[in-house]
Amino acid sequence: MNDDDLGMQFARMREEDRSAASPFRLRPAVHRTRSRTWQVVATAASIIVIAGAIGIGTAWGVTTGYASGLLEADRQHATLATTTRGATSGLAALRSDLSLVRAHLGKQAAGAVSVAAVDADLRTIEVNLERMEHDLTRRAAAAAPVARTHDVAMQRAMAFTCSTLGKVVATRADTAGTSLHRIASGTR
Amino acid sequence: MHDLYVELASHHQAALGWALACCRWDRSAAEDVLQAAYLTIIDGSARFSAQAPFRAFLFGVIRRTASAERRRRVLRRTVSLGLAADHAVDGDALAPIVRAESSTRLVDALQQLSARQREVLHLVFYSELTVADAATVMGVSVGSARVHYDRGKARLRQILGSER
Repeated sequence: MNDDDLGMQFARMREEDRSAASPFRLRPAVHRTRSRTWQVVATAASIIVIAGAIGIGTAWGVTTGYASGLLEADRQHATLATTTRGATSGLAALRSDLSLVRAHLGKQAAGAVSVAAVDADLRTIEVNLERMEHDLTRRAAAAAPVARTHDVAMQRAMAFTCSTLGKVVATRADTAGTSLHRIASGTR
Repeated sequence: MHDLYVELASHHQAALGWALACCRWDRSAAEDVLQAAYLTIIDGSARFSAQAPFRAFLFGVIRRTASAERRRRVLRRTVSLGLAADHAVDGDALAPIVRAESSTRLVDALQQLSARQREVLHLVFYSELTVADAATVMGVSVGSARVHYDRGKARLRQILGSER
């Protein structure tokens, strides 16, 4: 089959189409109107769907975010309260020990140089304790139900400081005890 | 405007044949596409620039309109909003085309070709355009159209030869 044969077959098909073709005329623009209607409907539906999705997503996100924030704030508040209670009780114990040491010093030896030094140290520790107690009280009162992680870190630092101070006080008390023992035994 | 009507009327039968090919010989779809293409030209959405023959310009508009209509139908079928009843063609316009057996075999064979091959063969053999004008209608380079033409012709010969 060559090009002429192909051309003949196409020409036959062309004649068949031509014999069946309707005469030239322009229909009213029904089709175009339908297309435009369809486009308007589709565009409006898209806008409504997009706006709805954005609204629902925003409301959902805000709600879940707010709930998460509340939960986190409650958790951190509980942690803060626990830490504060521990620190307060530790400070109370320290204060009690300090009073005992001071009373013991006052009875045993007035005027000794080493005892005076120990007493000065004890006063300094006492001032520090008061300041820490005041700070803890103020922070516990000011604790709000929001996420404040730096407060937790501060309380941990305070607890660590209290623990270290307790060791210092114990060491000083040992030293004072030794000095008292020496004074009592008349070695100085 | 009157010149445009005359020009469209003079190419109407060839345009119908091309619209049939673009719509895979679906008569009602071809009539719709043809009317939409005429409206596109008359309302000025598509302008004839005289860089190619008017027939090539008209066939290009028909081809683009058919592609858009095909996509629209697929979308409507997918979405299924019940708005697919878009055939408003008169009863006499939908009269079936009586074809000889050889023409029926030719249509079947053309359906087995790729779209590009089918288009270029139809434009060259049926509408008697040059390969260059066919390339303009198809929106491809002349070289590409020639490759599609050669391969499509070979394939069409093979199909029609095997059926004999």
